[in-house]
Amino acid sequence: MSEQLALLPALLTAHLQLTLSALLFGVSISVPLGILVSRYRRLEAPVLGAVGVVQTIPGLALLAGMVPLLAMAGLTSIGFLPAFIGLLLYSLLPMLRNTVTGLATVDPACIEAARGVGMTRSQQLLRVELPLAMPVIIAGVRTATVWTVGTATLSTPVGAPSLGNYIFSGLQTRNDGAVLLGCIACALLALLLDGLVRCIDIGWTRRRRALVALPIASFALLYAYAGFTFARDLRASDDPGIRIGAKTFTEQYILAEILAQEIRRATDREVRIVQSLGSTVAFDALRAGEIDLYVEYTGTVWATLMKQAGSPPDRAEVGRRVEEFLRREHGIGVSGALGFENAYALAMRRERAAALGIRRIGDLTPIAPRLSIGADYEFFDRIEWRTLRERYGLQFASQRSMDPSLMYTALDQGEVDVISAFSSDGRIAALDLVLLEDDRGAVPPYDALILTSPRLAARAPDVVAALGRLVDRIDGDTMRRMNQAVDQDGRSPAEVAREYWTGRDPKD
Amino acid sequence: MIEVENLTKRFGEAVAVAGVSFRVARGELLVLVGASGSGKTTTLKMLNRLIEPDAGTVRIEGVDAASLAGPILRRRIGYVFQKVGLFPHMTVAANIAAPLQLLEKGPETSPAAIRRRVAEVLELMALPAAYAHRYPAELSGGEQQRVGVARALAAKPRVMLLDEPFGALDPLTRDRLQESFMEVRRQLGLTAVFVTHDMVEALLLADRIAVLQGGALVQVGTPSELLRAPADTYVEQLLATPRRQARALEAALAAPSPRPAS
Repeated sequence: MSEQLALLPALLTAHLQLTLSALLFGVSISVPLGILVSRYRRLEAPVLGAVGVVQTIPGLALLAGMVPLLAMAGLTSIGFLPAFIGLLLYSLLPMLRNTVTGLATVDPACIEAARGVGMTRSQQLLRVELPLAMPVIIAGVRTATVWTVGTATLSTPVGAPSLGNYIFSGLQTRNDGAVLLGCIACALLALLLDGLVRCIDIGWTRRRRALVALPIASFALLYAYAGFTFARDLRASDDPGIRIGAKTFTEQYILAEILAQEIRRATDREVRIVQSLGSTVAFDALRAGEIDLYVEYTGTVWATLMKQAGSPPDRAEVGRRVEEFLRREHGIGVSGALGFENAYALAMRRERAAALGIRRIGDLTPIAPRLSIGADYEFFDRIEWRTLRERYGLQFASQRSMDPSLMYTALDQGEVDVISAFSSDGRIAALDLVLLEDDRGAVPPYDALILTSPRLAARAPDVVAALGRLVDRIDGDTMRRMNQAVDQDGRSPAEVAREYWTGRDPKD
Repeated sequence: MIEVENLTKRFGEAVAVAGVSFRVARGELLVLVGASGSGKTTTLKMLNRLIEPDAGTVRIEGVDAASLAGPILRRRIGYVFQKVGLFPHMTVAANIAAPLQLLEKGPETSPAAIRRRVAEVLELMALPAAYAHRYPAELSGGEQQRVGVARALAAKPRVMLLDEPFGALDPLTRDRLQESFMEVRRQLGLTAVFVTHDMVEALLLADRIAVLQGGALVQVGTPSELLRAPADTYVEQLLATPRRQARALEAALAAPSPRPAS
């Protein structure tokens, strides 16, 4: 827990930077836009409609959707920018709608009086309409503040650190303390910011200057702090060091730590882990050079990027073709395979499989209509699943997508009969599961590869050399043990990675 | 002095005001009367261009109203209307100061001068000085409209426009406010145009009355001219009610009253 707490200042600061900047820009866009819409009523339906549609997009999809859009525009596509833009868009609706409503509900008699005494349109707006609409506008800001603090946790999968780091990695590594810490920190931050805005509101309606000045001064301090730390981070990132990506599961967190520790040891370079990246986000970020390396699996490249269905001639052949594809199509380097495989494999509880007489996937075909299958979010959309279904004629009674960490629990408790397990997962042994043999070659091999960005070889040959020393150094058993140490024993990925290196001479 | 020539306004197909012309002499109070929809409020609002005329000219103190920007024109014309329209987020003092703060910077817009002027008009409208720091919601309806008139007077206008200013008040309050207003008007020598649908109010306040019907001017004259020689049956009808009320009142006064038992 102390290891988690040590991360709090940095994550809280990052979360604050994202929230405050999105809100500042959100207010600066939505209030003027609301005024414009109030003046030109014809704009109201299209503008509010468009902003409303943005609001209907799930937060995670909105933030993740920024990544390819920014990449297309040739901009930094992971990290602060996509998270900031996503949050900004998300914050607009409540503030825009309340500005329009607030202005619309100003007593027409006041507006006529304002004109009558000789105010120009802008004087009417500034002296009469906006002050009278202010309580409604502030209510919109409060809503947006709470939403933005919450939604900012979804910045983690697009590569921007936030309090979401606790939640995403905690859920994956079964660290309930981390999840709780992330949620509590997030809730406290939301309460604090909302409380400050509420204070402005009360001060405004009760006409107490001190009650308005105090929270505004607090906000000024918070903005100064966020701005200062942001500028400092920006200067520091002139030489960003080496950035290692990690997708959203335990094995990736551990491997990123192992790679980081080895690079630090061998090169003295600054190394940073960008954790909990969405699956395609990691690849896009690598291609764009926004992360320098991460661990990917041959089968994923084979199926998802090369769109190949079914199992290829042999394992080495797949590796060669994947490597060639990555280099030719994307300029991405492959440092080599780590020495273990993490395949998609259908798994069942041993006693259940035995009772039903199932050893191979083919045995499932006749009884699948009476069974249910659980899988991670992406599995049912992947080529591997389509190929499995076609080759084996599988038709399950029900398909349920769920978080990978919950999938095992669901199988263990008999909620589902079959899951799409990951073959290197420590829980396979711990829960006494059996992997069903893919006798018709529907699923490709999934050797873990270290991928490096197009620029890394030229920018940091020493890092590439250090990575070379990791090739074939982690076998399946080692990986399963390490995964189990995190998932079952509640150890932290960094700790498990340190133990991996203790007692070894990395130079051998 | 106000000169209005051939003033016309259409709203879509409907003609609200059709070629109205009249003059209001310096220091004179002209009352515009007529039923709802007769065009009296539209006519009034075209004088300070709260409504832009489609045709015709308005000259105020010899200056063509169309030659000035609307807000500039309105700053030197006092304006009072039925819904009062005090700014609820401002104190009484700030409400009264609002027109002054719109004027070009000069000796009469210094904070001290504005404070003095606020105190003056509060006194003029018989409002306690302590009201300066209250908010409109803390005042009664009659007091609010006194502040409304005070605000209209703040910038020392020569011309006042009043759109049914006392229509929403109870009779007693209305009576007192009418009196206050007439007193201030005489004191300051204001030229005023006053809209009402209440013929009794028109007869009591007006130097001259202009009767509007369907957007056209039917008759302009002093109260006694109208009473003696109504231009048509419509004007006659308008005057019938106050005549009947006056007769009823006289009859009531003439009736013998029983001596109170002693």
